[in-house]
Amino acid sequence: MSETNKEAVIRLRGVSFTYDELPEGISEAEARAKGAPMAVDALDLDIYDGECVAVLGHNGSGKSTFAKLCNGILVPDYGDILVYGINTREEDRLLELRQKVGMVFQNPDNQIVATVVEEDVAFGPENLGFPPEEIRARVDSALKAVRMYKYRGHEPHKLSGGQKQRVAIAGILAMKPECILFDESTAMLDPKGRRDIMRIIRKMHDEMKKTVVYITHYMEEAALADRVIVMENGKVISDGTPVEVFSDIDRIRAVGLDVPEATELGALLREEGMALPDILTTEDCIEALANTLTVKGA
Amino acid sequence: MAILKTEHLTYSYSTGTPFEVTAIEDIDLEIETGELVAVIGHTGSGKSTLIQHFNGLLKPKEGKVYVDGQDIWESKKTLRASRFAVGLCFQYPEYQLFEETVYKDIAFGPKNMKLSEEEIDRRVREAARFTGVPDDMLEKSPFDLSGGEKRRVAIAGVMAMEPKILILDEPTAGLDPKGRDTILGLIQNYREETGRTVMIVSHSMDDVAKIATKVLVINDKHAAMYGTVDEIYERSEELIAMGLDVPQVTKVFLGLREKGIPVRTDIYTVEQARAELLDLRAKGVVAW
Amino acid sequence: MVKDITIGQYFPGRSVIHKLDPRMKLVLTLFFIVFIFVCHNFWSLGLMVVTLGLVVALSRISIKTILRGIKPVVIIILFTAVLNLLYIRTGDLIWEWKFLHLYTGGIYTASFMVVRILALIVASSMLTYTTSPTLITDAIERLLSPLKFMRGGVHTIAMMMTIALRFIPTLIEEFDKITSAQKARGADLETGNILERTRALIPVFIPLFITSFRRAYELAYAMECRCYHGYEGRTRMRQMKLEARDYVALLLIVVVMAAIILLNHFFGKLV
Repeated sequence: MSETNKEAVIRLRGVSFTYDELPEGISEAEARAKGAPMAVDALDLDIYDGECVAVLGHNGSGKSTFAKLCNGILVPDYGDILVYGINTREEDRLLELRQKVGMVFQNPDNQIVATVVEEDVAFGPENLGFPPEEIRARVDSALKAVRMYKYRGHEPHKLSGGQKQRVAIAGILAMKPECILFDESTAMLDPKGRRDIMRIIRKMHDEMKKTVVYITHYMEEAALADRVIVMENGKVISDGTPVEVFSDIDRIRAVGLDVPEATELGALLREEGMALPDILTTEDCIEALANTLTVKGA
Repeated sequence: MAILKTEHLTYSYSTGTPFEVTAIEDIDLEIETGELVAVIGHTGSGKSTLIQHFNGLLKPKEGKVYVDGQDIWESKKTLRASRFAVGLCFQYPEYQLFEETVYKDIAFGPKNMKLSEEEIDRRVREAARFTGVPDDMLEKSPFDLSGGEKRRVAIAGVMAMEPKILILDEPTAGLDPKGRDTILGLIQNYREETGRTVMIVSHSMDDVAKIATKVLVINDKHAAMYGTVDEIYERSEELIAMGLDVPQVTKVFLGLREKGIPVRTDIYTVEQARAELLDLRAKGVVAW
Repeated sequence: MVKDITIGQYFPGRSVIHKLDPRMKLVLTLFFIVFIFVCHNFWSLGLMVVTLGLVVALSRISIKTILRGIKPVVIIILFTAVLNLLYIRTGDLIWEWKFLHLYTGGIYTASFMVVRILALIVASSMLTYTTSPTLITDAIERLLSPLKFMRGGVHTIAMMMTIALRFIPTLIEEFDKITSAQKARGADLETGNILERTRALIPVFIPLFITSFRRAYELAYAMECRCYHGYEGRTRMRQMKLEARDYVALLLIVVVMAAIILLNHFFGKLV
């Protein structure tokens, strides 16, 4: 992952964070001695320019805290986070930071501000003080990118969960960020809504060349990333390509997560002597099995 | 006798206005006592509307609902009785908690049933046991619990009414795999121990099919299929055509069949998949 | 149940009244309402009513809708009318029975009263029926923005209004959902006296408040992430621009007002 031509756009160094109230000026060692539960625990992590990263973990693994730290909603108790060269502790540069790194949340209802779709999408650019024509252009192209343009005059509360989430994404896109964080943005959606959002996430990476980081606990979604980071107890326990991460089925299971069924089937069949390549998706699996199996008398 | 029966059940929203929308149409059902029924359908199929008829929250436009042989709309009394005979636990039930303590919240339903103190206490403790809520949690405020714990307390609140039929709408929504397995496990355990009827509503065949005895597929306002899990999976292509999610292995085996490999397509677990391929090799149909 | 409440309802449409600049509509409505009380004879009041009728016709809002808006206040109007009829003893005595007297002055005052109240209601509902609440909020913010010392305050209130409007439907939905859920647990919300019914709502309102706070919290984060930092440096996508039709409307209303003053002058004061 650490190709030399790529630059780390999000850089965490020794980052610890606890939701407990800590006394003023207490050192990290003292805080640990007092038993403060670290939601994110001495984390060192780099996200590189142009990556498509899935952060996987069960509830309470620290994955959502990680996302909130990257965008300055939470400030680390210890250690530093540099996002596009901006330390998240520099409060007067938070606007600049959030313009570069947008964030889409879990509950689609709680991130839409306006009573009309297009006005909601305009909210970010309006806050950034762009001239009206520029805002109009950004709003239109953002809505087209998530295929919600024809709903621009609708009232958000009449849309489905997946559609609302697309509006929320358009609201972030209209700010033209370099990087977008998704904090479990598919968790409250139905299967169709989830597929739609995943397609848009891929498109933002592949076509719009954004750096994308999404937090999830669905392994089928994580399998679509280029890099998967598995978190447990505030630490990274696995980091690599989906194939590398999911090949260690026991380790994934041990932290309360699943591996894709296709991957698991592949592993079981290899034990039966089948020579199979790495399998992540349904298509991989069909392809691999069809190539390996020979039908007798055919 | 069927514990739950519907005849020509039809319902529409905004009846009598130009915006009238039919939500379910002409649904005939018969659910036997003790089944664990997975109710599958995508958003807008009418499944949520359907289950709200079973305890009389919605009044059918046409047709009848019988719980344990009793027409629930016969009188005010039978209607109120249906509220307690059919326990309905809505989606994201943790947002309905309101009492000062977990104990009081679980006791809310039984209290409304005007049971004696001892009976309420017995039911609260039993429901807590079924949902894995430990004794010391009972005196805590429900708002101090984690998301998964709140969900279990909310489910306990409905179980404590000891309904003849327990219906859970998307009980695993938003949970991680571990949380999902915990909830499904406790529901399965509840049914096995009490022998009562349970219905679980879900978007996908994936999770609940693993513990269900019967599957009811609702599609486009109608009851499209009802049968055992195996019977329904024999028609997995139809399920996909309805836009329903089926397990990944099912899709893999459908794909293999398309490529001319003579595999069964009613496979829905990884174990079955492995067994099927080994079986075919033993029979000499395929080799690798 | 809660869905039936229709305060400040808006009926989308494409009529010329709908299309008027909301700022102009707001100002003209205010002037119009003031002038309802300036009229003091039947001639000027008649002109007022005709103008209002014209506006209603142009808006293409059905008479039925307008009558529905008046319905809740009919009792109050009738009550004031009857009081006026019986207690005002100016002009000629027309009819008398035991302690009841009817004078011409009473009839005039009562009918004036009725027409004024009706005109007031219809005029203000014309504004809300043809302008979305968001636009009204926006118009107020923009009209008051030249007052520099209060711009921050006005912006904050306008933003709060917008968010309230955005979340009212969400909260209503939530209310219905929680109500169903508690009913499913045997909560009885429909029987009993007022005290019992109010108590029965506790299981609905506590969860509703708690979710609302959670929503508020999350929304605040989401707004911050979209670089919201108050009104300073904030621009708007939608620009409000006065067009020809707005000037025509202004001209018309000015003419009507001038005519009212003239009519008032020439035909004298009746009440």
